[in-house]
Amino acid sequence: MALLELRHITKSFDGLKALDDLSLAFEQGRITSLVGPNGAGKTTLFNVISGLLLPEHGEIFYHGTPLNGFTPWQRAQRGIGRLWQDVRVFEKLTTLDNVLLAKKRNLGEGILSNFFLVPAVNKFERHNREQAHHWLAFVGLSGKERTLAGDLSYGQQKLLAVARLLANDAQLLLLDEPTSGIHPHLVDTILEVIRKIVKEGRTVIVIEHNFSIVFEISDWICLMDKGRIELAGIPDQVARAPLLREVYLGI
Amino acid sequence: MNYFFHLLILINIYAILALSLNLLVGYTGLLSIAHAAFYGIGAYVATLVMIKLGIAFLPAMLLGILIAMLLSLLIALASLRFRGDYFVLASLGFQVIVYSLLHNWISLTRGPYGIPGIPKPSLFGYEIGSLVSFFVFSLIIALIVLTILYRLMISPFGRVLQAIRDDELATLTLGKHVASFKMKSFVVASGLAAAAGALYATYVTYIDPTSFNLDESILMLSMAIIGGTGNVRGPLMGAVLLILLPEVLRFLAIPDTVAPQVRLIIYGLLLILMMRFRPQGIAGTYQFE
Repeated sequence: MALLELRHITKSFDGLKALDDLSLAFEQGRITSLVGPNGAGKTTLFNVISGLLLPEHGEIFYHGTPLNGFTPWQRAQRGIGRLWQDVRVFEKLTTLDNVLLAKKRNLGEGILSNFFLVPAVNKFERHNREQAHHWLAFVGLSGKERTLAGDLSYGQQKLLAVARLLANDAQLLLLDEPTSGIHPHLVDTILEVIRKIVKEGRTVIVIEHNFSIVFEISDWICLMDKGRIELAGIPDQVARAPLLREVYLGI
Repeated sequence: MNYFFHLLILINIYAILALSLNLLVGYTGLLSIAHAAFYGIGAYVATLVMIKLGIAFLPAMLLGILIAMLLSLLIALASLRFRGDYFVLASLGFQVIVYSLLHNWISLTRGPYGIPGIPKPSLFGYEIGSLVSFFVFSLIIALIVLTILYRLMISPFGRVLQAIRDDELATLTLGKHVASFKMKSFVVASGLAAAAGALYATYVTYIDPTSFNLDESILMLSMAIIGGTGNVRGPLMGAVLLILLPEVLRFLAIPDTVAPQVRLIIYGLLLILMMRFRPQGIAGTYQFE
């Protein structure tokens, strides 16, 4: 059974179909790349999966259960995490706080427990802190704990946002252009982190424009155009397909 | 000396108001202009049950807090699911409604005549009648409020509020029920404002609706914003500054008839100057946008 399955998803804006009867399945433990020209519907697809947009038609199944009717925060609670194209770290919080915050079911996030269950809250927070340090080390941000997230470089912010998703226990990570606009040496770090994430059994869907990166990291590639999946396959198949050049270059 | 203690008591009361408003404005990023309404609800509920039912101060204050919390919960349910701007409008609407109820529900509140003869609080048979004892009492309550708010601000709960303030959508997609956090923050802040109201009513022993109008809400916001939001120092400094400022003006020979207007002009000027030159306030860490 696929981890995530989309069936006949349609979403339109002002009559224009951003997603057109799209059906697609994502296997667990795999890196799937979504490629396609601007306006192909890739980010819309992410928004539909995270629950920020509701499709007019179609259903989404996650672990075999329908997601329709779940709000964005409920989907995140169930393990669907999102890396934003514009990162969206909490700039006025420290790097460490950004990761601490992501922990799910945190006892200290209730009001009364902060007064009546202080030892339990503190214990939970100590454990959370250890895990947060682990995830920061995982993405290579050790030593930056006290830095305000807004003071990190753009690439470091992307790494922080990934650490935040891992601390959030996201099992399906939707990464919207994780390597765009960042320093080349951090690109390698990010790709390495993505590979490590998948080795842990998590699943990654990535929107990426750089084809050398797409062919390097993907287990599966989906070519999107005008809200449809035009082509899907392993990198070798997709690389040879004439349709790829047709969609991108119009020839 | 009496005058000095009078000012200290006012500072304690307004410190509670500015600090609790800071939880909303500085931590959650919610701009509320209904804080004076909850302050008024606390004052009127405590006063009415003390006078009409002969209930002691502490339970009367708790009842005021409870009713303010319930009402804030209703407003939150109605308005917090929408964007921030709608919350500001909803809070303005609530402020206006509460003021006009206090003003026009004459059979209950005596409207513009106000309610005189409010008893001084008494605890365990000891009446807090003198200025000094009332100062100590108000200081204790202000410190309790400060402790509650400080504990919340440094807790994981406070961390989520700050995240909502910085980026609501990102907080939502980390699985946080943003609307529920905003609601809790609003309910706590409103309940604490009501505590200040009960304190104020039993201090001055006379209340009328003008103490809880829109100008008061704006004064509280000015305290939080001029002092600076996002920590506890800022609102405290704002409360001290804006309580002492009119007292300083007293020594300038401004006629009594224009003094209140001059005071408002100075608050307004201060706000504009702060926005221009020091948007995070005197001692704030967060700049309201």
